[in-house]
Amino acid sequence: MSETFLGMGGIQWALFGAGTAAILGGIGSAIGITSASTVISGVLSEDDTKFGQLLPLAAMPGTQGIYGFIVAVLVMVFFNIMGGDVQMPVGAGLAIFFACLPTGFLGLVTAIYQGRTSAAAAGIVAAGKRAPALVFPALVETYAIFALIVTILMLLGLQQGFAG
Amino acid sequence: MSVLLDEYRHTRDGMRYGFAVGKVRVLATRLLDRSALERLVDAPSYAEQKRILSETPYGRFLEHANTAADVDEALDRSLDSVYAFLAEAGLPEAVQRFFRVRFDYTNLKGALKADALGVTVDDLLVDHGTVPREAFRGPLSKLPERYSALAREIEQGLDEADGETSLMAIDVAIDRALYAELREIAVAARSRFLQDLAARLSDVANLKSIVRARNAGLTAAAMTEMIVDGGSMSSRDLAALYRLPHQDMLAGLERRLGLKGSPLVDAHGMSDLDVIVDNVIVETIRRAKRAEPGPEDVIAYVRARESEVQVLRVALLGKMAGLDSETLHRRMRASFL
Repeated sequence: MSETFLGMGGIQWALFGAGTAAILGGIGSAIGITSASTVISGVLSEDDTKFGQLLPLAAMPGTQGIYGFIVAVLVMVFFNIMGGDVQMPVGAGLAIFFACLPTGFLGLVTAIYQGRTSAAAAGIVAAGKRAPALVFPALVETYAIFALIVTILMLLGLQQGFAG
Repeated sequence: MSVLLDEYRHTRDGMRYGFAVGKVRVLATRLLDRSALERLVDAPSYAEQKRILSETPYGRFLEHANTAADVDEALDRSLDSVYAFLAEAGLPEAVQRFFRVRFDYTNLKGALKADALGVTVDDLLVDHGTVPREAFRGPLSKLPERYSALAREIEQGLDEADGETSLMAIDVAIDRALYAELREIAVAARSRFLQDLAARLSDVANLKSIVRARNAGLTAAAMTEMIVDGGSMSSRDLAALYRLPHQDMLAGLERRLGLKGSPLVDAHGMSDLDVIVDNVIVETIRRAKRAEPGPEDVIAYVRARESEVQVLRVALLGKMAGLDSETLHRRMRASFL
């Protein structure tokens, strides 16, 4: 195999993967939090006693950004990128890149949908219903967590292979 | 690609309307429910109605209202907060205009009619428009270009007509301009829902026109002059229905508008027709409501408040006028939310 693929070496592909996970998760979280927060701000402008119940709904889409950040840090730690002078075959770099994609893409999508679910769930709180509104956005969170687990398992496997 | 566009639209709407929708979710819980409205209708006297309303947001407006004129004014004042909400909620200008522009046209109609009849315009003007009502007291040439141009155009057309004909011509010309502008606003707002609502409003305006024309014994040609564009039925369709016997015409209108049951056939007079028309709009809005933030929720709320005030007006003034509960019940509108 050549030393580069599409002009990038192994380390560049690994960093591209880490960056993709962090960027897509961050974008998704920013959109999701904004979607939820606009509705929640409207509710609070009329009834500020519900702040405690609404804050978790606004915060929940933020977790995907955190997952992306975790993955980016793990890539740098597992493969000693911060140590400098790392040599990595392009195949290994590409494998790391693909391992980062589940968290990146699922983070983007689930954060956006979770924001919408949180916005809708804010209506339950606003209406003064006793149903646990947090459950529904939490269901969306499940799939972001699955993606994170898949990425971590793949990175662990690659780390062992890389070290071996 | 269309899926991505839909997703983009949902996200954009969520951010554009989210704050207003959040407010509406709370404000909607403060609307009078069906049972409260029924208690009002069944109350033995106006004093009892006032007592029922004293703990609602209407209480402070009605506190010193003891005559029919007081009640009318108090309910008008209560509507101020509804239209102020449109601005406070940070809705796009086009959506705010969609609600308020009809009051401009009502005032323009009043000014033109007052001019045609040689009476003062003061009693014909209403608040809540995009242009202050005072502007319609002065020369119409000072109004925004859209309205002054329309006024000039109508006045030129009136030179050939007189009396009743000129008043009807004013009504028709203003209605056409209003519904045309509502369609323009809906397109500018890039809201499919507002476009559908504008079309439905044109439909119900035409429904009222065709029934009024039949009551006035107008010819089909005269009736089609009153039709506004933009509805689901063309002038030709309506003219064909108009030529049918009365009951068949009403049944045909019910079919075309998708009305459940036979409300038009069973209606007693124009006040029942007003209720049917309101209920058609309620149904349109209710069908469009969805969980995600969008203009539908805000529009549903504002229409609900308008409808609530209308119901209160009927219930309070009707009780003052000695109408029985059964008559008042028949005039109740459907609930929006």
